[in-house]
Amino acid sequence: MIMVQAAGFSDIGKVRKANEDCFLINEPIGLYVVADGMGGHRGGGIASRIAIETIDAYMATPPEEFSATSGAHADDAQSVTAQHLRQSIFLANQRIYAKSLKDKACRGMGTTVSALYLTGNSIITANVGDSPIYLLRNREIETLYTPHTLLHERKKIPKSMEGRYSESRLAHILTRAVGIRPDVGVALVETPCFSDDIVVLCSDGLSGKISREEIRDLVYQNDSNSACRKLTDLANQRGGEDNITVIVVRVTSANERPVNRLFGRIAGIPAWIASLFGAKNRS
Amino acid sequence: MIRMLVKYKDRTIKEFALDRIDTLSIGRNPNHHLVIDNYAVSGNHAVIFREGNRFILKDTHSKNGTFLNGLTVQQANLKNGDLITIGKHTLVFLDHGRSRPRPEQGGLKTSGLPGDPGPDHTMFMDTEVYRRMLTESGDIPEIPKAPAYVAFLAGGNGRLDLAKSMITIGRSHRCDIVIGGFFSFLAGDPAAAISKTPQHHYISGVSGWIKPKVNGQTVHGPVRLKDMDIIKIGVVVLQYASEGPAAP
Repeated sequence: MIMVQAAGFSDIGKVRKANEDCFLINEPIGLYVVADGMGGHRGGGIASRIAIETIDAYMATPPEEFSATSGAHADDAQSVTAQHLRQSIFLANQRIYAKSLKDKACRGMGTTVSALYLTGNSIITANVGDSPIYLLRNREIETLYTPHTLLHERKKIPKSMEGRYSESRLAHILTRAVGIRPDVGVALVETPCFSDDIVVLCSDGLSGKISREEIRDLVYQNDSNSACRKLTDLANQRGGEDNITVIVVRVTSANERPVNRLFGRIAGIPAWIASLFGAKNRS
Repeated sequence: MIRMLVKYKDRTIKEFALDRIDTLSIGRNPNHHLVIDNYAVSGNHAVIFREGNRFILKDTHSKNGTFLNGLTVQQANLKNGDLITIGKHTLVFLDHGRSRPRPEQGGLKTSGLPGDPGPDHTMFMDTEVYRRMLTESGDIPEIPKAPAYVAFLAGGNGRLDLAKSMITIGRSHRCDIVIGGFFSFLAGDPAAAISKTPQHHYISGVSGWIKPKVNGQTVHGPVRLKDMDIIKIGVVVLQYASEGPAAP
């Protein structure tokens, strides 16, 4: 069981007329999601809300019943739980896509999704689009997401397109989003969790204004709640052209494996004796 | 110029010019135009034929199905840049005869925003146009993942690639790296673990009296491994190496 302390905050920014961002903090099941909607006058907000609600409802159900049906996208490298998270994003994608086909006002709407799921002793993250997920560990910050923007995938841009768009423009062109196409590719990361790890999820309204190092320093210097506020205020001070959303999840204690039970130690003695005579290493 | 590239594992192994061909049959039987000798491919798998000035892909009741751009199809019109998957092979349909997509005119599509979105708005790029751009530019250059490994300096031979999300080091054979020697009973099961995030590897102590050391420093919490770090745990000495470019 992982003990966490989480806080989230969303702000409309200074320029936009509506907040198309949406976030979810569901501490009992350990699910945290940021969705940054886009497209249309109201579509973006609707898309991000559908994504949040769908993922929340889906993740609340146990994964067993779906593990058998997920064969089409099953990937051996990922655990059942990670598959479950992926499925929830597939489902959100289907719902938003269906809605955008049905409702004219919502045509072309979509959303980015960045989700964090804490389970057992693992951090599982999934993302579609460009909403960052950062891991802060040992006073250093690293990314746990794959940005699906043309800037990041610049090596894939053909020669004929080079130089046509500036870097800042490329950073805003998504190559993937939830709800635009009938199918969606999800980038998953699964990694063990340690005490004092901090995960920050945000929308690009924040990460576009504040560097990774600044986020790291602000989060380490404040508790989760005031870190969210201060980050949002800082992004607003620097223009606030986009909606700003941030979630800070602080792992206070991750119980490491059951340590050194006597029984296990005694049961291990035959194996130890065998190892003195037998094969040394398996690699 | 209408072409069909046959690819296997990112390599183009065959190329067909379809300009003067009316039918192209695909299957495992040797009488087909394109013979793919693989058990995932049916005897008669699929056929591509011309109708007017279009090419049509038709699945001829194959067992494992024909995929067009990742979706199963019975019959479909082909357009430039389409990817057909048959077994483990990929066929790329290229039709450069017609006008290319012009990126400046709707090649990059904003998703449903009326009028021009401001520079700070997020746009979505139509994946179909994107894919077509990719086929035009040739092979998709994947950014290589930095492979990392640990090499045994003592207590073992060779090296172990750190491909799994978690490598365990301990006294029993359930672990990926086994600590041998007389005092190995002091080590936990597992004693330490090397875990992976997208850009880095961390080592952490798990249990037991033998604690891992990195460059002589005893590990308590997770420690990020740097290239050429020396890990010592019991009699096992490992050197960590990340071959790829240093992550930013």
